Amino acid sequence: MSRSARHNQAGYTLIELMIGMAVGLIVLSGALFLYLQIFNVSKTTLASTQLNRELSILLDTMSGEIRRHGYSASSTGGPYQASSSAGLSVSGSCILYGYDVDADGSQDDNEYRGFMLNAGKILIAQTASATCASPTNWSDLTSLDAVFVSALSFMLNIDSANTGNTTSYTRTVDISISASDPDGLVSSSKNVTVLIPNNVVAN
Amino acid sequence: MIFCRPYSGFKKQQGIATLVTVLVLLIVTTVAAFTMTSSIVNEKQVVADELRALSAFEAAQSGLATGIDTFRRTGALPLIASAATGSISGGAKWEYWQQRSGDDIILFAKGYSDDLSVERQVRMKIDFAKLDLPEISMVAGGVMTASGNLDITNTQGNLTIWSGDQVTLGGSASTTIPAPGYPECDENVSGSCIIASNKDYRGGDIVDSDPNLSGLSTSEFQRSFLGETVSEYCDSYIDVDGKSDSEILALAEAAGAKICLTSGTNQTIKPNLSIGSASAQKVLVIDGDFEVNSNTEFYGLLYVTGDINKANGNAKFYGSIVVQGDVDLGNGGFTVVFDSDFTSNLGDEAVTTAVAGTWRDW
Repeated sequence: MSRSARHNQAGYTLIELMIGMAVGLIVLSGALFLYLQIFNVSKTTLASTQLNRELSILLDTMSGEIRRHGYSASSTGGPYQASSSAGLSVSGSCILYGYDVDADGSQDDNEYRGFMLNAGKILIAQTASATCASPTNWSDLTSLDAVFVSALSFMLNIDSANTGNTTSYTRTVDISISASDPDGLVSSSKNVTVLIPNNVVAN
Repeated sequence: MIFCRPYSGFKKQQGIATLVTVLVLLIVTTVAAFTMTSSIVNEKQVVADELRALSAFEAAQSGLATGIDTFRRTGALPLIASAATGSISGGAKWEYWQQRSGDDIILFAKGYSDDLSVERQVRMKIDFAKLDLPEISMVAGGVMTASGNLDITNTQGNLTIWSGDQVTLGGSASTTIPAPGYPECDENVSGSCIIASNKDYRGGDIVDSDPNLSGLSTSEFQRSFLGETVSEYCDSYIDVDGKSDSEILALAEAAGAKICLTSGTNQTIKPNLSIGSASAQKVLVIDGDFEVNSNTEFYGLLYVTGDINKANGNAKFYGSIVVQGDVDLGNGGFTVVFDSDFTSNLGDEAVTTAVAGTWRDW
């Protein structure tokens, strides 16, 4: 092999290779780090967005429903005017309420409503046979595939005001909910106070 | 280098693996970042939608409260075709209107978000304490003397005049009640009405010299018919002194369903007014003496704290007349027609409230 030919076959020196590899590795690890960061943040953000949306929809549904408590088309105010808590029962993570859905003045079976927490799911009741004591006769409002509800609590506040012999009761319900996404990446809590516009008036 | 020396350079591009890997990673990262951004934007939109829904709901509730307040002040609410509109701070708009169902007044209110993308409608029944008026055409605390073409009719019952003192009918004065076998006296149904009393004949439709009426004190008398004393009932008075009929009428129309007229100088009050209609009855309280001096019509309850001194002209009153003092109806054709439809919805609108248990948003 001639001298000039050997010169042409010259490869990289060890130093060159090592510098090349080091630079390559630094660039690669930087890009990988960035990728992993973005991937993790994006996963958390998506989970958090989904959780917040689930919570908003849940609270919106529950507060909108509970707000309707006490409506009756009956000229005597129906069963909900009997007392300040008639047809409204709150115990920890369970609420039972009711309203005259079809505006016929009578209390039908599907007009007994309720929400309760059971094993990470919120259940909804649409029958008089559903009680807070057992999840039988309730149906699922949420799915464990979408959200895990770790805590739910309801609190009923009753204010009364007297005018002469008439007492007017104004009710508010505090709802507080804590939940996490199915993978347990993020968790969130929300509170809302619902004013029930249908007051109870007693003489 | 790759562009400058395409043939000899390729072999030397041994960092291509790193470059491609980094490029792929950067592309994936960029896509992930875009996904995240769109997700955040999406969440912002969801939150904004929630806020809009909330403000639309609050606007609707605000419309409801405004509607009740309007009814308290004026005794009237618009129909849907001319719904009242307004807005709350933040730009959300509301409108309200009424719908009558029998004697019930249903107040509707609709709220719109500032960009009109969300609307919420709520409604409730509103009501006020109704006057518990006797179903009698004319009540007089004192002496009642009638002449001329007086005609007092009770379309539904057998009592026309109830007085604490003597009642004298002269001239062509007469009272009319439903004929036996007819539930109502209807001028369009022949034979459904009969004359119960006139100057020659006194029927059982006139109850006079009743100690239950004459024994009442002034405030007891007022409470019996208005539910409270006149001074409590009338929040504001229209002083008729120095005002023309049209000025008084304009003030009376602005006063709503409860009109209280007085005279600062204690003159006889004798405006020439046409007030109310069959579907919009009024309570007209005359704080003082009254002289009927017109050819006009009135629907509702006329309450006079003093005397009715004179009734000239062909005035027509549909509803009840309650006079604390004496009634001296002179010449002219003066007609009083009682029908419970004209008095059953009278009350004090200023105390209107929402009926408990009637709020709904579906």
